[in-house]
Amino acid sequence: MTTTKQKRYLIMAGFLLAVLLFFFLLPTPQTPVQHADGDMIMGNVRIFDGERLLEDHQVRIRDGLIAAVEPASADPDEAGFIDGQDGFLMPGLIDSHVHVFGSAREDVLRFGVTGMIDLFTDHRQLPSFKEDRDSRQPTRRADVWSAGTLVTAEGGHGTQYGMPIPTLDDPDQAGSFIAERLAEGSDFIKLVYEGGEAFGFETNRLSQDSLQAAIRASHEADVLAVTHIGSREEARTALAAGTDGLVHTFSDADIDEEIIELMKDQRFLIPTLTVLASVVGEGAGESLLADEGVQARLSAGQKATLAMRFPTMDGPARYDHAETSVRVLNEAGVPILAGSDAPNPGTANGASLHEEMERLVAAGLSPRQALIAATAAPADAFSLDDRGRIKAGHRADLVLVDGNPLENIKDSRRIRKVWKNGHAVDLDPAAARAERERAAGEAVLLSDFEGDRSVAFGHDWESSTDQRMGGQSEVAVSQEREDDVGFLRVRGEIRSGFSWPYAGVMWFPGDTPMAPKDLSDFDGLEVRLRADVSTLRALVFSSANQSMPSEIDLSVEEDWGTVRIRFDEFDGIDHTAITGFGIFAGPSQGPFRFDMERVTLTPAGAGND
Amino acid sequence: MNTVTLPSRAGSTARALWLETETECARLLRMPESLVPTIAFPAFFYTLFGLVFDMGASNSAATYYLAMMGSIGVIGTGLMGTAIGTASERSGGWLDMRRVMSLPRSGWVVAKLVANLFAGLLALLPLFFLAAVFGEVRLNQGQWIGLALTLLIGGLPFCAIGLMIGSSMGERAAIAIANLIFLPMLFFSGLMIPLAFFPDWLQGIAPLLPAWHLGELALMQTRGDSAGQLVHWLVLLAWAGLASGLSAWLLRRSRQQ
Repeated sequence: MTTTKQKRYLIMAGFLLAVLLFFFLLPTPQTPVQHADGDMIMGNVRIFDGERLLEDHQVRIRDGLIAAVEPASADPDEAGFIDGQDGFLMPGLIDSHVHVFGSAREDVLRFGVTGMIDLFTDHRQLPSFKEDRDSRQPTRRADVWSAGTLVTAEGGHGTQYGMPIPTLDDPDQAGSFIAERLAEGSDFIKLVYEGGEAFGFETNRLSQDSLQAAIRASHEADVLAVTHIGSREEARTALAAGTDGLVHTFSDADIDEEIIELMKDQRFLIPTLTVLASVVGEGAGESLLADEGVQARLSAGQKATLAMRFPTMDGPARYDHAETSVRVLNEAGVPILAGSDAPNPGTANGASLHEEMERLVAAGLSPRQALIAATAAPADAFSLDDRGRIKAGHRADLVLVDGNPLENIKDSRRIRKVWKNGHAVDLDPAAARAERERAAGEAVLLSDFEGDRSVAFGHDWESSTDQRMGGQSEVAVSQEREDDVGFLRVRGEIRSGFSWPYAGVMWFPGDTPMAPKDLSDFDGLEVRLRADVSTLRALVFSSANQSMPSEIDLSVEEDWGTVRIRFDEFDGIDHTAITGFGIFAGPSQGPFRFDMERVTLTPAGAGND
Repeated sequence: MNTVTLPSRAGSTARALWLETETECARLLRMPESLVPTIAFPAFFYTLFGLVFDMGASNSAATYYLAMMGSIGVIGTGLMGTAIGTASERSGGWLDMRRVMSLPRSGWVVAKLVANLFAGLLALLPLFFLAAVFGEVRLNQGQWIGLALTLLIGGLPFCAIGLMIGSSMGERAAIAIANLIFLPMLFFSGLMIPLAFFPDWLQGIAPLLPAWHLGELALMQTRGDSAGQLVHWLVLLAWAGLASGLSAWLLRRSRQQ
């Protein structure tokens, strides 16, 4: 009896369990209804949207744009979900005072600067600036809005940089002068009204009449006219002439009521405290150089400009005057924009914007105001309609940092990730440099083994043996240093087991191991090598010979020597789709050791044989 | 197992309830001739309307008809099952017999209700399976379970209506009348063919019928909206109250005769 009853209960329990299981196995929607394929969702972040902090929200990115800023709902397992790991997400930063030369547009991205207000550069770059910023394609470059050629007097500030520029010496010419700038593609007009007295030098400056006429002509053409000034009196004159903003603050005297009133009238100030600190010797760049995270992302060029110094100046300029004007004007509600004036001496492209924000906070802005000064405020001031905010329809230019810059502004430089047009930016300066060298047809230093086995692009050198083919060979790779020269030591033993035994190191040039990479810009490699065996082998894998690498023998000596490896020595490989390159010992058995000191990719067509 | 529990009075009531319920469910399974048609009917029409004739690119028909055929499933098991069951038990003298046995009065009602929930569940399982696997219907966990609970609980008023039919006539008449109510009600409630295809004057009938309210509740569950459910629940409750009251009166009267 009991057993029948027990059986009955078991059947009932089983039925109930099966029903429950059935309901829990019923399919649920994989994704929210409005989800489109290829969306990227950034969640588990605190979001500073350019004005305020949003908790428990997520950012949806589609086609290089922010599709939505919505209450957090994404499942971390959902396709395209990016876990911000409780980081701080802010809009791509905008540096409101730069001069774009060389690799500035690549270099600033590593510091989260995705947009720049250029206040004088070679106007021939302007068409490409425009074209690039209209594109939502993946890019390695920050966007630029530029004044192009500045407006100055003959022999005035701006004429000393060695490139011939037109000057405005007759107010009657102002209309045609401005029209020429706009024809060149200037997005706004930058005027120089600086005689040098604040810094103890003398230079020609525009006449008041020319200044006024040029500002009027700009306004008639419906573009902003911003002015570089040096002294308080120059500021007063420029403001009275109707300039839309000052691109430096004055430092020769404290601010007065009249200037406050003039500034209040919808003007903005780009104080550039950092470059002023550099001019007057107030420790520009020191806080950046003390930051290891910043150091790691500085290119050689950025380090060089940061270390440079202005010649000692002899004038009434004082840093505290400038700080006072920033504090007072901020309190008066005048928009303050963060601009670094990079790459002037004592500044570095991108990095110095973080120093500028730090200095703005020291001058009296709240950290929130300092962040606004580098995001929403410049977007508003220069009418960059889809920048400077995390908002639906805006460009997906984003920066993820650790910490909370709203509490400690220096956290803005603790950058974990940067997205430009919705695509992650490589934060390693070597990759940017390699790309540049490659574009310029120069040799690319792939690895110098000074400290680690990193590469300019692709995947770091990895050990590789025939064990994956069932062999018995062994290899160990170590970082060594001798006479202050770093090198990679590869040692091991070739053993029988696989029919063609090998052991050595490999480099994968693609973004993922064995992803094809077009290396047709290069004709081969140069490797500085030494070995205790007389022959090594170089192997190339490409999409054309995936399973069967092509190989050549390398003669090596016990002393350092440079071995040249040409891609055309390898049979049947596809230069445009190289998946791997390796240097190996074998097939003769026994222990081996070889050292690699430097690997360079040599440009195609250079004929440097 | 080793202890012997002397049945207390409360214990024996519970035990009697349990046994009667168990027996009722067992009867459903052992005499499937009434259960099988009420399960097969909605499953067949779901396959036809929800799956085969779903010409649209989306699976909207599969979801819509899941709500509709789910309603038909629980209405069928509730109305038909109770009507026929009650009529046969009454005409067979079981109800009279029960009175002379020391069985708790509530036992019969409880057993009928639980057995009906069980039968309703058996009707829903194949529908949900078809919808999930072949109809590619995707609902949140809460919606799936909410839909099932809505249908099972919302189906209970139809047991009361079935009870009313079974209480007032013999077994054969009950079968005929139940069918006569069942099929037209499904039709005029828009459960078979969407009301939108009906002329306006015919659409006006639907709100008078309890089946329409259940269908609306089920649809709301699939859409995930909870606003406006209360009215439909109140209407269903009113139908349940009216039908049970009438049944009680009818049963008392038939006993007195």
